[in-house]
Formats: sequence, structure tokens, C-alpha cells
Amino acid sequence: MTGGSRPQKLNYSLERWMQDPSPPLQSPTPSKVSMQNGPISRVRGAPRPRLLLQGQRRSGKSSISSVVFHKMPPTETLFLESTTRIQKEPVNSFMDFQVWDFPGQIDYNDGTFDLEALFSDTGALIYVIDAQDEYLEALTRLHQTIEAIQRHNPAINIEVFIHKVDGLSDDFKLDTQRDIVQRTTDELADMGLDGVHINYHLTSIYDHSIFEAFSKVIQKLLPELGTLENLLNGLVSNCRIEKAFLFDVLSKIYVATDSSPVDVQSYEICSDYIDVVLDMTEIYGYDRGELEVNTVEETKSSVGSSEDWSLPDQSSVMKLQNGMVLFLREINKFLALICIMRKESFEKRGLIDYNVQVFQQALEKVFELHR
Amino acid sequence: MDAFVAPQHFNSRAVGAVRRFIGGATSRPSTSAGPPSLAHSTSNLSSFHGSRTARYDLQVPIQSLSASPDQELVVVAGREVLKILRVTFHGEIRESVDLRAGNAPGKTVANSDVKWGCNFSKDVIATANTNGNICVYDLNRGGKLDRVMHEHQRSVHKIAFNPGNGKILISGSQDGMMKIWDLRQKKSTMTLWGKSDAVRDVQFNALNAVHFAAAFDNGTIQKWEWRMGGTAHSYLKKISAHNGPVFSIDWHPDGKYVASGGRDKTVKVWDFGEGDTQNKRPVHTISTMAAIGRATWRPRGVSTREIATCAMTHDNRITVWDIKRPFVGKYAFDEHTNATSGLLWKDENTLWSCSKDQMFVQHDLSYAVNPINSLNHSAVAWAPNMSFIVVMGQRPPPPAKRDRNVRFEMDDEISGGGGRKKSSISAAAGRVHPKIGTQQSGIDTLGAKYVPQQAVVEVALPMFSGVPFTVMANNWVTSLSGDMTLSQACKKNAETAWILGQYRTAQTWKMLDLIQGWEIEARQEEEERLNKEAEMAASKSHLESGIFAKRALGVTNTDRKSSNGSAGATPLAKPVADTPQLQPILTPTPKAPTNPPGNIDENLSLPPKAFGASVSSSTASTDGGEILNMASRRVSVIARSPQAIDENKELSLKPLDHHHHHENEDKITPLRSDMFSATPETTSRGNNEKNGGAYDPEVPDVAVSSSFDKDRDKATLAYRGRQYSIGLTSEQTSSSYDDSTNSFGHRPRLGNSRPFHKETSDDEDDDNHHHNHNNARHHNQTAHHNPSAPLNPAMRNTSSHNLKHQHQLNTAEALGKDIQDMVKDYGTIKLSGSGYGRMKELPWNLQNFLTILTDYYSDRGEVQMCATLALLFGDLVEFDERRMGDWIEGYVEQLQRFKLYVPAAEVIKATTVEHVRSQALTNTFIHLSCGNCNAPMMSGGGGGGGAASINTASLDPTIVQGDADARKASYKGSLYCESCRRMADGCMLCHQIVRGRWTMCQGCCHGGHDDCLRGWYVDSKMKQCPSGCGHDCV
Repeated sequence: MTGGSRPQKLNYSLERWMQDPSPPLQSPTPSKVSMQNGPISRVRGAPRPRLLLQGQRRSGKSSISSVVFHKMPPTETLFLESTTRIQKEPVNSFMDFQVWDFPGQIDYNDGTFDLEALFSDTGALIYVIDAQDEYLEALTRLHQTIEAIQRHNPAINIEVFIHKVDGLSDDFKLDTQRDIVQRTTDELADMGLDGVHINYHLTSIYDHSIFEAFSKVIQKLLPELGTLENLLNGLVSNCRIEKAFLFDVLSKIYVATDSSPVDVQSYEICSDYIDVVLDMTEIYGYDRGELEVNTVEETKSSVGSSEDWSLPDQSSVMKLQNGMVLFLREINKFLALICIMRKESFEKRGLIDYNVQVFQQALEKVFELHR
Repeated sequence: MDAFVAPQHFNSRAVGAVRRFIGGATSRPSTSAGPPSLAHSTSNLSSFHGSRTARYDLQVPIQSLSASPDQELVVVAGREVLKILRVTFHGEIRESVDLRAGNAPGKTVANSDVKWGCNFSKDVIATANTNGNICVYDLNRGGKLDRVMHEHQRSVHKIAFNPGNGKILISGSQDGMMKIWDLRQKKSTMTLWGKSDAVRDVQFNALNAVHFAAAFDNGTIQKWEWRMGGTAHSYLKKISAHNGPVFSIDWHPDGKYVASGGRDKTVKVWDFGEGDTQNKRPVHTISTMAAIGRATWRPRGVSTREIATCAMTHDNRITVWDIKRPFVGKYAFDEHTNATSGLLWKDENTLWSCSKDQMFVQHDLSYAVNPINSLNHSAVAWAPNMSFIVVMGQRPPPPAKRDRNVRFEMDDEISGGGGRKKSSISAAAGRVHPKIGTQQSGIDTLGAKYVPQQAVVEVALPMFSGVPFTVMANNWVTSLSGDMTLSQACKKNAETAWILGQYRTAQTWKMLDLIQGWEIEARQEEEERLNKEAEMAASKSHLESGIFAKRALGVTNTDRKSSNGSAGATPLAKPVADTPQLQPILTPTPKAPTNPPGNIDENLSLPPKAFGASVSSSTASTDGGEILNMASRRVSVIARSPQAIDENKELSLKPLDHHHHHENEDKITPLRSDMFSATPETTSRGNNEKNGGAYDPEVPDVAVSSSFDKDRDKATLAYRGRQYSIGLTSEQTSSSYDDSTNSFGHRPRLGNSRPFHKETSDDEDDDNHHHNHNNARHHNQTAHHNPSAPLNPAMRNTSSHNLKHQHQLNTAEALGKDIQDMVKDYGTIKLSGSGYGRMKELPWNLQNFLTILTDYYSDRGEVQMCATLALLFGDLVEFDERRMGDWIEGYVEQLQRFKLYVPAAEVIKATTVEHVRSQALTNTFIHLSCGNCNAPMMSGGGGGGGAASINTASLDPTIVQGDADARKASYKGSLYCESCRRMADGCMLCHQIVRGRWTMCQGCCHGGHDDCLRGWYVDSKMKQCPSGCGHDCV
């Protein structure tokens, strides 16, 4: 029952999804591994929610989308061609959505666009502003766009990415943000749109900030977020976990985390950990059979341990030199739970496995409910 | 440290003395020595004078703590714990109540925050839970869970009781909502939405309890007034405070400022008063090492300046900062072994903290470590011109008496110019409650910046002066360009050094001029010899072949010609092709302008005495030998028209006057570089023209010397030996160089030494004059006998002479000693034979000589000389590659520190050292600084902003041309100056925005339009920067 013997079988392991981001042709046998079903749509049959990426030309929209959804190294985005037409990219993950990458030079306010249709299914508008460039013009466009959104679909989350802040000093980042916020607030007040809620994010593709910003954007589109968070809170407090993330494996954005503050290093090590696990899976992983075949990834960095775990899903443990333990557990084919905990807490491995299993079942129910 | 921690055995004075001796390092208190015991590790041993530090192990991680209004009880909360501890003043800690005991376990878990009520709710404890609950416990009923308020759907992060009315409670939640609760009502009375992210912290203003501040996950902080209520309510003030989440906010006791701490590792103090909302910049910023978890003001009345912080992760210490010293913590506590999660000031000298390491700790500020004391208070830095600066901070005298009621007086040193603040602060007997209405001093103390009390001493060392360095750097020839010969380069450098009073350096160059002449000559000979041999062999073997014979004949002819003229048909002599044209000029003709200027050049390095005493055959032959060398390489100069020479004559007078001037004053004044624009070349040429006819008598000597060439070996040897002595003489009698320089105009009287001296060296004292004369005579007498003999009088002469130039005495002697040693060696060598091989053996051959020189100068740290030597003679002589690299790198660096970018670029261009060159080729970025405030533009890095790209190789280095596109691309990144907050571009002349190319001066960082600048610098011939900064840009 090894993977090599039946290479033609569909497999839904992590690495499979790395290599082929297109949706599965058919669902695997749903009876046992029900979490490995197809994508979860919030409303069955409803069109996918859209994320609109807009902004001036050369502000970095395509770079963002390439880095986040296509794992392009940030340094290579320099060579991206400029986008000439609206790029509609379906993202198939725990939740299906489309990223529409708009070319910067398109003026969609000129009446030729059907703004009603454009905005009707849109979940969030991400407006990218190049912080290293002159942004007054970009702000004008932003204000026009906000006005249009307010006319057509006020429910859209408006997210402003103040982008390319890696080249700015800390003080200057905040100054830029303050300036942009102030100008926008004033302008909207003049338009009579006082109540519009806009979120601002300082982002850069060279560090985690773009992933964090995207995480927040996506989280806002998740109605289950509060539930997920409470589930994680429960898990964290019962297992003495320091920090738990529910990651989308494909894009490395986190869908949910417990309510303790996210610190940069934790996020980064988790995101790197996913990369490691994916790479390991690519080398050593084999096609899991339809039902029974289980794999265990045991990655040990410092302390060896000879036990072999047999769990129904992929899991991996990494023990760090500083007494912390990273624990990855595949939740479904899109999501992975990563926990950071102290070595002492990890001694009760059975309890943790059980709790994670409960968590997994709860998650399953949450998603079922919305289906 | 344990030796010091049994204070009851000492009397108090002894303890104080010991503490003083060990200074701020008294961190471990007696009561906490040893591992903490399980239950009651109390501090019953603490004496009156001992530290009140105490710790208590709760065995589960603690999240938060809060004190009862009377400061005797403290409630600690964690995910699995909710306990009340009793803490006595001396640090006895006992567990009082376990609030979880009588309550249902399900509801009381996962506490993220706990608060003890105040005034109307003294007996109430409220906890915030991660499941969205707010639990209220009633202590009057034995700590029973009174009620659970559940309205938040997500985790509640913080709660706060209103200090004005203890029945009012506010909660901040992950869902971004803040709710106001009245404990007398069932539901929340008000829900406030900050239109931001999750609420991380809320706190009421203690002075004005209707205001509260909230901190959010998206980096903003907001000020609210909760009474406004209703649906139209909104925040009063909103500031984007941090990059990343804000985790903590704390009102200053004066009720006008807040301190916020966030993930971006900074604590910022904000003006949250009633004033204008436009000032959205922090009053103070403290940068720390890790994300800030908690930040609380030390309660020292309304003028407190100190903030205690603890980190979220990675850093277990608690640091107390003085906002006026934002880089070094004032006190540090290193008690915890895991991240500190809660901070609370019991009173101004006692700090309570709880941590994820399961400990509750009471810290005694009097025994805290003072990080500032472990730092060096003084610093030394070198300036490029060899002066250095010393900064010394004052250390406070150790406190004479240590009493627990007397504050640890560390802030006197910090208050600095602001005067002593301690009189306004009440003593430490108890908690200082801020009094409403008397908070006026807070603004002054918070607003003012810390001015350190430090002594600054600048020391200028006389060993290095920037002026000669600069002028030499600008004027020295570092690479042979055009028709410049090595000899000319040496002469020019010598003259520049001489004018600047660098006599030793000047002499070095003159010696080098001589020696390189012999070297080249010897190499030519060698070449000829080889040629001849080859020719002989060729003619022997190919005699029958007509073509070869012809060619051989041709070679012979050329050879003969060149040996006559000793002109270089060798690769070493540059204008090889010109040799035939040179020939006629070399024939002795009485026609003045045809005199090779090299002849006159040579006079530069010859002492006038040699000429003055006798136009003897010895001198002349030396001269002649040199002439032949020079002439062969100076074809283009000869081709100049007499008119041009006339012009040169006019030019040459000026510098000469200057020479006089400086010689008279015997000191260096800053010289303008344009003064040196008349090169030695033109000077000598002008003189040549002037002396033309009168010089004729010497010309036959040239012929004589040429005639010597027939018996080449002998003649070379003869005059080489003599030349050496002359060369030394000229070197030793360095002051008389001036005479020779000045005496060009008086060459007709060369034959007559007395009048010559009288007239030309008026400024020289008679003694010196006499010496020169004597020396010259000695020289003439001894010249024929032994080449080394003339040296001794010459040396004596030097010493006496150099008395005039005290500052040069030692160095010149040292160098002279080297030479003397060399000459001694020379004396042991039997002089026979000739040719290049012979030359190589001579101790003063170029290789040896340069090795000595470079060793000498590099010992003295004169990298300028070493680098210039390496650049000029790198082709002729082999230098150690690594040393050469060091010199040139050092020289370039030094030049750049002096802002001499042109010479630096020239050096980089001229050098053969690979890594220096490659540096210049790859590193085409320069860092700009602001023209207004001279601060460097720090916003560089990242995406290519921050530096203008220039091509160092091809552009005029004074004017740096920033690429317009680069500028545009880095609009916000580079040319905006953060320290003076304005754009640094724009034209300094017309004050318009520059579109396209912006040209700037690298020295003063002002720039503008090309046309404007051209009008200013070129058309109007201005030298100074039009911005009025006083920089001489051109």
C-alpha cells in the first residue's frame, strides 16, 4: 500500500496541493476522511467572494499576489511584467475566493465598468499605495473608489495597504501612515462619508507584514472567526500551549489564532516550519491511500525520539534548542494547526493529541454548519 | 555575593560601605537567595536595612495581577489560578484566599486580566476571561463568584475600574468593542466601537475619570470620554502610535500624557491632553530590545519621568526607564526566568511583578541594578586631522548614607541642567497620590530633553595638519598623464611639498627624481646591451641575408644615436618615436630657446652652490647626463612656441613670490590651490626663456658630457658617483632649495657665487649663507676623489641648517641616517663594471631606496606619501601587493574623510590594486546628506532608495549627478530629510523644483539645475556655494 505502487491515485496531501493548486477533479471517498473533502464554501453554489487588488501602477499589486499566493521569492517580483488586464485568480483553499488583480492604469470609474457587478460579490477591496512614491494621486483614486463602493456595496471591507515600507525608517512609516489616514479621513468627511471604516496596514513583501495583513483581511471575511478563535483559546489553555495558529498551508496566511498577541518571531518560525514540512513531504512523503494509509512526519531538530506515532493525519514535531516545541498537525488538506509550546507542556503528548483531535472535530462541525 | 547578604551581622555602616563598594551590583537580596521553596518562601529574615525583594512560587503561569486599594493584598490571575496574596512591607508573602476553591471550575478558567475594585467596590474583584466572560467575585461573601457577564463574543483582554466610581467597569475585547458596565445593572450600559482592531488595553485617567485611553491591535491609541455615550459617540483623539499592535497604555499621573508600548519594541509618550489634536508625534520615544508587554509609570507624583516596562517575550527583565535617557535603562530587575506578564507599582520604591515562570516577585528599587553604572562614561574618538575628542561623564558620588526612607538618589545626575527636582517630590514614606489641581510641572519635565552633564575635551595634535595634506592631495601628481614624465612628477611634488614647508618630503621627492633618472638610464643601458648582443648574434648568423643585415644596420644606427643622446629607444622612455627629431636639439647650439627645458628642471634639484662655486666639468657633466635623460622625454615641451613660453614666464613669477613669502614667515598659511596652478614645469620654462642667452656657457658642457659617452662605462660611473653626492647635498641643504628656486632669474650670475647669494638669499641669515658656500666648496673639492666623501660636510651642514626648522630636525636626521647607512654600505662596494645589473646592486637603486622610503613613511603613518610613491613608481618597482593595497585604501579613505573626492577618485582611477579599483567600479552608490541640517539621509536601503547612483569613473567627481529616475523612484525614500523634515532637492539658486537632472555638490550637499549652477560657477566665476553655506564648491 505504498504510494509508489499507485501513482495515478488522487492524493490530497499537502505537497500535492503545493504542486497543483487547481481544485480536485472529484471528491475522495467521503465516508471516513470527511475533513479531506473539497473546499469549504460558505454558501453552497454561491459565487466565490472576491478580493479586489487595486492601486496605482507599479505600486506592487501583482507582486503581492505573486508572493502570497504563488510563493514567489520577493526578490523576483522585480521582473514581473506589468499587468495589462484584470487577472482573476481563483484561490482554492479552506474557503474559495478570487483575487482580482487590477491593472493600475485602468480607470474603472469612467462608466464603462459595471461597478454594480464588480462590487456585488466582493468581500474586500485591497487598495495598495506605494509609500515610497508620491501618493497624492493614489489617494484621490482611493477616495473615488471608496465613494463608488459606498454607492454600490457598502459591506465591502476597505483595506489600505501602505506598501513598500521596507525602505522607510520606523518613524517615517508611521508619519506616512498618519498622513494618509488624515488625508483620507478629511476627504471622506468632505464627501459626507464619515462612517466608512477603513483599515490601514503597513506592508512589505520582504517580511511577514504582507502575510499578516492578508491574514487579517481574510479573517474578516470569515464569519466563523470568533468561533475558531474561541476553540483555539480553549485548546491553548487546556494544553498549556503558548501560541496556536491555524494556517492556510498554501498561502501561509493564518486563518485564526488564539487571542494572545501575535509576535513576529512566532509567526515567522511557524511559517518557515510549514516550508520545511512541505519540503520534507515532497522528498519523503508518499501517496496516501484512499482510506487507511497514514503518514507521520517526525522532524527532529535537536532531540531525537524513537517513538513512532500513528495518527490519522500528518503531524510533525520539532524540538527547538531553546526548550520550545513546534507541533504541526494537518487539520484538513488546506489547514494546518501549528502550536508553540514549552517542552514541559509537550510531555503529555497523548493529551495534546486527544485535544487536537477534539479541536479538529469541532472545526469540522463549524464548517459543516456553514455548508 | 552571598558573603554580603547577611546584613544583620554587620552594623549598618559596614553594610553601607560594602554596598557602596560593590555599587549597583547588589541585585540578589538575602531573602531570595537559594531556590524558591514550594509554598511559603517568605522573607522572614529581612532586616531593617535589607532588601525587601521577595518571591512567591504559584506553580502555574500568571497572567495578571492587581492590588487592593490598601496595597496589602494582591490578586494574581492566570489561566488556572486566581489567588489573593498578602504581602507585608518587608516582603513576607502569604497566600490568603484561593478564589477558585469555592466556585465552579468551568467558569473561572482562562483569566486574562484581573482587577481589584476601588472606592465603592473595594471588595470586588473582576476577571476577564479568554472566552469572553467577565467574572465578578465578591470578597464579602468569601470570594464567591458573584456574577458572570457575557456579552463579548470573543476574548476579553483588559478590564478597568473607574477610579472615580468603582461600580463602573470597562472591558476591552478582541472583537474590537469596549463595553462600559455598571455593576449594579445586569447588562452593559454602553458599547463603544473604536473602528479599529482588537482592543489590547484600556485604562481610565486617574485624574479625570471620565476619560479613558484604549490601545488597539492595529497600532492606534484612542482617547475617549465614556459619559458622552449614545450612538453618536466617538473617540476624542486617535493616534497611529505604533507599527504593529499596541499592548499597553498607561496614563501619566498628571493626566495629560500617556505612555504606550507595542510590538515595535518602543515605548512612546504621547500628549493626550486637551490641546490640539494635530500634534501626533510622540513626546518621547524609548527603544527597547523586545516587544513591550506592559509599561507603567513609576508613581512619583505628577512629575514622574520613569516608566517600568517588561517585554512580551524573549526578555525576562523588568527595566525602569527615565524618559530623558531613552537608551539606557535606569534600573533593571532580572528576577524572572520567563516573560514577565504583569507589572504593578506598590509604591514608588516597590514594584510587584508576575511572570509566566510562575513567580510573583516584589522588587525593591533601592537594590536594583543600575545599568548606567556599568557603562563607560567616557569615550574617545579620532578626527580625520589627527585631533581627537574626549567626552567624560560625571559619575555621581556614592550615597553617603543608605536609609530606606531616603530615595536612591540617582536622578540628580540625570536632571542635569533642569535643576534638582527632588524638593518637589514628597518623600518615600508611602504611596504618593496625585492631587488634582496641582499637576503643572509634568509638562515641563516631560517636554524637556535630557542634557547630559559631560565634559568635552578636544585635543589637537601638532603632528598632522590638514592643510598640507589637503594641498598636497590636490596638487601632487599621482599618475603620469599626457606627456608628464616621472621626473617632472617628482619635481612637481617636491615643489608642492617645499612650498608647504614639508622640507623632508620635498627632499625625498628630489632624491627620487635623481634616482629614478639613473634607474631609467641604467635600464636603458641594459636594454641597449641586450639589443647589441642580440644584434651581434643576429648579424653573425644572418650576415648573408640582406634584409636582416639592413635591419641590423638600422638597429645599430639607432643605437648609436640613442647612446649619443642617451635617449631612450627603450620602452622605458616614453616618446620613443620622437628620438630622431630630438637629435638636432641635443647638439650644442648657442640658440637659446632650443635649450631643453629639462635642463632647467634639473636645476630645481641642484643646490645653487654647486653651480655657484664652479661651472666645473663635474657639475656640468652631471647636469648633462641628466639633460640627456630629460631631453629625450621632453619633446613636446620643446615644440612650444616662444610666445607660449612668454606667457608662462608671467605666470611663473607669482608662485615665486609666494615662496619667498612663506619662507620668510617660516610657517604655513592656508594656501589656495589656484596658487599652485603654475606648475614647476611652466616655472622652469619661463626661467629658461629668461635666462636663455646667459645660459649658453653651459651648453658646451653638455657636449662634453656627451663626449664622455664614447667611453661610456667609465663616464657613467664617474658622474654617477658624483651625482650621488650632489644629490645628497641638495637633499641635505634643503633650505637652500628656496635659493635655487628663486635664483632662476639670476642664472647669468651663476659663475659668481658671492653676488648670487647676496642678492637671492636676502632672507637667509649669514651663517646659513656661509655654510652653503662652504659646503659648496667642500663639495667641489672632494667630488673628484671619493664619491662618499662630500657627504659628511653635507650632513653637518644639514644639521646646522635644520636648526632653523626645528620641527623637521628629527625626521630629517632619521632619514639622513638611513642614507648615511646606505652610503656606508656603498663605500664597501667596489665600484666596477656598469650596466643595469651593476645598478641593481647599488644600495641606492630605486628598489632599495623606495623600500626604505616606504618603510620609513609607513612607520610614521604617512599614508599619503606611501600611496603616492606606490602609484608613481608602481610600474618601475615592485611593491608588496598587500602593503600597497593597504596604503592606497588608507589614502583613499583619508581623502574621503577630508572630503577630497576629486583626488580620491583620481587615486582610485590610477591605482593598479585590484580591490580598490573594483570597489570603485562596483560601489557606485554615494550616501547623501541633507544640505540643510547636514544629517545623513538615513532612509536608504531596501528598494533602491536612499542613494543616488553615480558613475565614479566617468563623471567630474566634484559635481555628482544623481540620476533623475533614481531620484524619482526614491522620492519619499531618499531626498526627504527626516531630521529637518523637508525635501533636500530643489534648486538652491532659483528655488524651483528640479525636473530632470539634479546636480549637487558632494561637499555641501546643495544642488540645483544644471543651468543655474553653470551660470553661477562658470559664467559668474563664483567659487562659493550659492546657498550661502560658505562651502567652496569649486
